Amino acid sequence: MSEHTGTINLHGITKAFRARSVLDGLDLRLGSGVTGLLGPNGAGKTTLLRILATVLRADSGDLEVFGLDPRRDADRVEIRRRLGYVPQEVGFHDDFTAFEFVDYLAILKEHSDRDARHDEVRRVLDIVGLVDARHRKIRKLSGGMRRRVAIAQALLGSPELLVLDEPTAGLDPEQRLRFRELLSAVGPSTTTILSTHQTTDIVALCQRVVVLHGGMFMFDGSPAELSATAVGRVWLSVERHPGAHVAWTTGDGRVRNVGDAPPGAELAEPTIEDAYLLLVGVHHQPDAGIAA
Amino acid sequence: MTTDWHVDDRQIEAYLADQATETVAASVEAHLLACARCRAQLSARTDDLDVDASWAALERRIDNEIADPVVRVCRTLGLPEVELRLVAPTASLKAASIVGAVLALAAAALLSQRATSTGVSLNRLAFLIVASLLPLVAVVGAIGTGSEPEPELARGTPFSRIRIAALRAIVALTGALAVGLVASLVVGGPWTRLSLWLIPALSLAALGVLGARLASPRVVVAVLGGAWVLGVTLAGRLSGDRLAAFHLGPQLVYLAIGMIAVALVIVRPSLLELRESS
Repeated sequence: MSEHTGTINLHGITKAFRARSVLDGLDLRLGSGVTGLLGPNGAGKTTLLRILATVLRADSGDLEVFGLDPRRDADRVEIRRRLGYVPQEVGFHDDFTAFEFVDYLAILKEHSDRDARHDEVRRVLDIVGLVDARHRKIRKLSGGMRRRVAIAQALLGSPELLVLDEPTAGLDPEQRLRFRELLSAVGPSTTTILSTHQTTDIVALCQRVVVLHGGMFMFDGSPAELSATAVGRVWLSVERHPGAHVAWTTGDGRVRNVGDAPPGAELAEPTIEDAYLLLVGVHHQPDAGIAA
Repeated sequence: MTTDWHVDDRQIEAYLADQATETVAASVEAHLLACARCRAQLSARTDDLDVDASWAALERRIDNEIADPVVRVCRTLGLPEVELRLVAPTASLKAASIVGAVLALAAAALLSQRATSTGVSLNRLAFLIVASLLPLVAVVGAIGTGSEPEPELARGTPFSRIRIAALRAIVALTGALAVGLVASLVVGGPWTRLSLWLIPALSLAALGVLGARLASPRVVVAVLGGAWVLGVTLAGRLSGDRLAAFHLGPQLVYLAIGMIAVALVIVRPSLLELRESS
């Protein structure tokens, strides 16, 4: 694990649901900057982010956010004052307009003065490009627009900690680029942790990447360091190599193999995705899709 | 079309002062669209207007509007702005509940009217039972599982869930009691007899608050409501008086139970908090 002085300190965090262990003694320190969280479905990413967002309690272990202990009521409230959170799924109240939804969350975030609050609501909706659509009912918005509404509420009050669970899910490529711009514009002192299925998001946004698998951290370092773990283990061939963990036909007709390269293989520059696949040990055909 | 004619000083002054007649104002606006000269003339006179501020003020007015009719009623009744927004998610759900409740009570009231003419107290009993269950349904619906439209997000905010639940419970209870009291007036008859449902209703609602922490709204209403209907029916059968459950003695028992439930909530306000999801 790399040494980061932390806004967030986790030590020995465990969580189980009905005797099924989801997080198995996690240790982590997170400081300012953007950290990406990768892992297959069911790896425990959402559970970890929910614990960091103080909406779920760990079964054991110590969590410290801004030096505060979320097990204490007063500390938990203080953490929430400095937090922006986008859950994996938001249960939108369909009768709300986008404005009413964000305004409702602004009230829950203790923005009590109406004019100042409405200014702030317009500001965050403007950031996600929805200020002109703010009086449309949420039920009439597309999936991507709903996601942007969810991101907007997380930006209320310019929080010091952003916990984003798959914030780019449902966004088209242009919206994803806009999201990257937005996140780049967030102050450098902000601590951001995001889970995503898009390895391109990790490369574009994150100074640090953590891979979670089976409730444990498999990797913690920079995206470049993650890619480097696959050096010498990605090669191109005419046909799928039997020793490859994963192999797929690329656009130029050649097969990209990921695994233990045979002697004399034509090695290729590894990507973060190759390294990820090697780490989590995916053994399936590429046609079945890659879960990050 | 309009370039043969130009807006004169007097018309511009009147237009800017919002004192032009509707016809003149429309003509001026139509002409301005086509005539650059008059637009420039108008623009020269409006330099001191802060257009951005005007737009901002207009935006504020639009953003302050509340579409939900139930919430607008709450605003008319004096509920503050922040509380209005907190009630809004449940209020719109409750619009349908209120319509249903009004219909149920109206039906009960009609039955009760017929009862007076036939001398049978069964229908009056039906009215009392429906009226006493209404606050339970409203309160449990307002604070139980599913009452929070954004539970995951709400949990991640510093706002007190106890305050939200208390507010919603009070608004729902007030609405339900108002419907019940109006229906009582419709039924008519001695006030002392018609208000017999009030104390059982308050006690059931208080128990509902405790129950909402333990089970889903449907289960809470089914268990408490079922027990209440069963108890009233049994008391009537055993005593030979259908309204036995509404006599003074039982009323004192309901009062005591309700007070204990309220005391528990006051001592342990966390009972109002949302259950933590897995």
